[in-house]
Amino acid sequence: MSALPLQDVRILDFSWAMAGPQGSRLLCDLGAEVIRLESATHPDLARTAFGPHPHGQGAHGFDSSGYFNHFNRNKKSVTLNMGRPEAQAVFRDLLCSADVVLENYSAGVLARWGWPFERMRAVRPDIIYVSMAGPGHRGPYAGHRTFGPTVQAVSGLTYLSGFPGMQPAGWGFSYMDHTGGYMAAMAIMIALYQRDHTGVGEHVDLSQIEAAITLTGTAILDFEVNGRESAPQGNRSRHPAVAPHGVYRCADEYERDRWLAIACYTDEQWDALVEAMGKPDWATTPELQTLPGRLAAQDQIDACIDSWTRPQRAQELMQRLQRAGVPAGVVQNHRDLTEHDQQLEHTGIFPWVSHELLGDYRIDGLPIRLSETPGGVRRRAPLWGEHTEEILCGTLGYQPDRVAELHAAEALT
Amino acid sequence: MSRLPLEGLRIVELADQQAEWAGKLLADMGADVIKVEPPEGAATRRIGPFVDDLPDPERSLFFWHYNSSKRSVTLDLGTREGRALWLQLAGRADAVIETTVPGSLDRLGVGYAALATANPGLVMVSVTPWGPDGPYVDFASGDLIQMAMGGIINSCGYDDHDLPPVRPGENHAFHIASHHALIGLLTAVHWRERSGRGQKVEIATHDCVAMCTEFAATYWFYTGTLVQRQTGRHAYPQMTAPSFKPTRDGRWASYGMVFNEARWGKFLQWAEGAGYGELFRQFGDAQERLARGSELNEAIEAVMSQLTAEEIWQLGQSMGLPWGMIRRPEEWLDDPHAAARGFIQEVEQPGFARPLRVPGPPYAFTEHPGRVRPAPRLGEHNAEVYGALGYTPADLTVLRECGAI
Repeated sequence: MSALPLQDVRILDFSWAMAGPQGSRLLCDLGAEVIRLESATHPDLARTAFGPHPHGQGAHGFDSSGYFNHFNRNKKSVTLNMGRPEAQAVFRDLLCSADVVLENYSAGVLARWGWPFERMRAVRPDIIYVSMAGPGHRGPYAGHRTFGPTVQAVSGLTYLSGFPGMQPAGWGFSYMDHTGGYMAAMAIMIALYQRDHTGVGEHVDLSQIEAAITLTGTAILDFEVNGRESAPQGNRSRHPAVAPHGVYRCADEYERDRWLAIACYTDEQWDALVEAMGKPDWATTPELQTLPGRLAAQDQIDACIDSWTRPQRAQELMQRLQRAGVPAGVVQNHRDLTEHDQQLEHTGIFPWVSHELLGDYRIDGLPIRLSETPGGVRRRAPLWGEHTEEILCGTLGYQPDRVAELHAAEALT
Repeated sequence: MSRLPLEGLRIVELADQQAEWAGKLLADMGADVIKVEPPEGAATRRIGPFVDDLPDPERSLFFWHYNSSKRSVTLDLGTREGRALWLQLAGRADAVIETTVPGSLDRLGVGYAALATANPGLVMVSVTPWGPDGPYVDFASGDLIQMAMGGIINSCGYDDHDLPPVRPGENHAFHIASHHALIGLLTAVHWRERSGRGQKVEIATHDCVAMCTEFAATYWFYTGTLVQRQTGRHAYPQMTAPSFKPTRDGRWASYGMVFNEARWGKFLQWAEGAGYGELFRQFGDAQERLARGSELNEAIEAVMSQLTAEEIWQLGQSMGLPWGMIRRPEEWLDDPHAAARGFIQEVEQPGFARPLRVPGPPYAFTEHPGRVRPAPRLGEHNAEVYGALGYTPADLTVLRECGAI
């Protein structure tokens, strides 16, 4: 096997649900050894709850969830019950061998298990510890509990999504679980760089709420400088201010809910759109030939484009507009992504992964393509505790009777 | 001031809005990010909002946000002298981030092949809409187009499917691509420090956005079902119960009914104290609450309409429930939690009278925190950066006069 760029990095991963696992998934795809530390006292919601479970919830115990397989491929699983005194020494030994500890519990959980950062550092002086509780570990809201939708709501991301004058539409998934994960992976890489150059590790107190707020910086500056309250824009664009910029209804015989996004960022693109529409009278008036004119007439333009796109097939119209130089993209669903999108077929971003209990399924690939040391999907997610013996006996060098004692003490449950 | 985590990392950035965010995040953590702009300025200097709404390359708040802490030099890649400067900058860098049209740098003789010959340890990260090649490589792009094509917009919008699906506000396709670019860059630098070898990192925004869809992917892969968009909650194969509740102060609370016995007990205790005991006592045990879910939901809604959004948020959290309110981003500027954590920072932006309050980095390094420095004026660091390459002030005058910088 060729070298993987992070093959010398070992991550002890207490993270669960999605935000943490998304972060460790990226680094694991790039070669880091990610050891999930799991206990039946609080099994991962992605194993027990989040779906789908193709053979039914619990059909294969903690190994029933496609969602878990999706976000935890390539990783290893060790069962360790941190509530047991006998588990303490095991964690200490793991810590000595590791570079990074990652967790996304609410604040204080690791400290309650006896492992505040100061103690981790006493055992392994250059350890990097990334926590990612929604509000972070410090501050008046430190005890708050959050899911992705909570983070999105309080941060301001939800508010910025929707049509003006209506209730917010928000995000239709836990965007901040994906992005919180990306940012945890970024924090780990930044901390590893620092350790390489200074020998120092540290605690990164990532707050997913803060992570989300940083994405709204332009709106915050507009308020700070110009006193303008932020506001949802529907599908229109204020930064940059361009028109048309919208999502328009199309028609397909096989799906009622079909839409095409069209944006004209330049006068040339607008001219090309007008040409493609057959130069209708409404579009050739002098006022619409300038951006300020188009911005002032967005309601009219959107209505006219919508009646033009309405009887047309989305994929065909996209191809036609793109050939004419107009930015256009189908609002693709996953059937489109996997069956119609020629570019994604070309990049091969949805590989297959085999799972002996669940079956063979497609999976999200790795969108970071390194020319010399490429990573990717190598193996399904770990079965529950699949690597306990391997890590304890192999990595830590425990004798079988020591492992048997730990089992007997219920430290590996 | 303490040492910054990425001190010593030298980046050259030739990027527009597709990857400026990656450069900003690196610069805020201490990397030296030299932003290469054409003599007329980066295109993002012309994106608003502007200070006092007056368009000007030195007044773009969009540019300020996405280019904080960087240094700016100008050069024209269309000139021989400009290309020579570019090769020298890249020759001294650990990494280059670029967003040019695939093949355009190679056609000028200054693409990865040329740069790597001179600097074999160089990491070059290319962020493009669709990747370096393939059937859509010439497709026109933009954040809206990427968010549509990648599958995110299909999950976002309202219960009423006669309304169009919605692109969430701000340019998130560019954020998503930038996050992957940053991870790819530091990963390749990590490998370079162990092997001595640089490499090329390709980031296709389309790939990245299509990997950011959560349930839409897992339900399609495992059950062949498509998700449906729903107001303010997860797109899902079936329609689920609403999660946003209108509040007394005309705002919205974000609410999820996840009562275990302990939390229900706390809630009941609060309800008794607040005068709603009679309303909720009748719901009895967990089984009954489940069976009478919609009745309970109505009762909760009635109570929430009597409270402010802030009260609902803090009430839920006091019971260990992941409730929230829908805030505007700028409300964090005066929030006690953000203040206590030092998250909101002040930046002295040249040309602006007072310090600006801005969000700090998205991850709080507890001993070596990042900091946000001002965005550069156009070409502000020409003398400093080109001087370090050995150019004298007289040389720079010549370069300026021939239009190279």
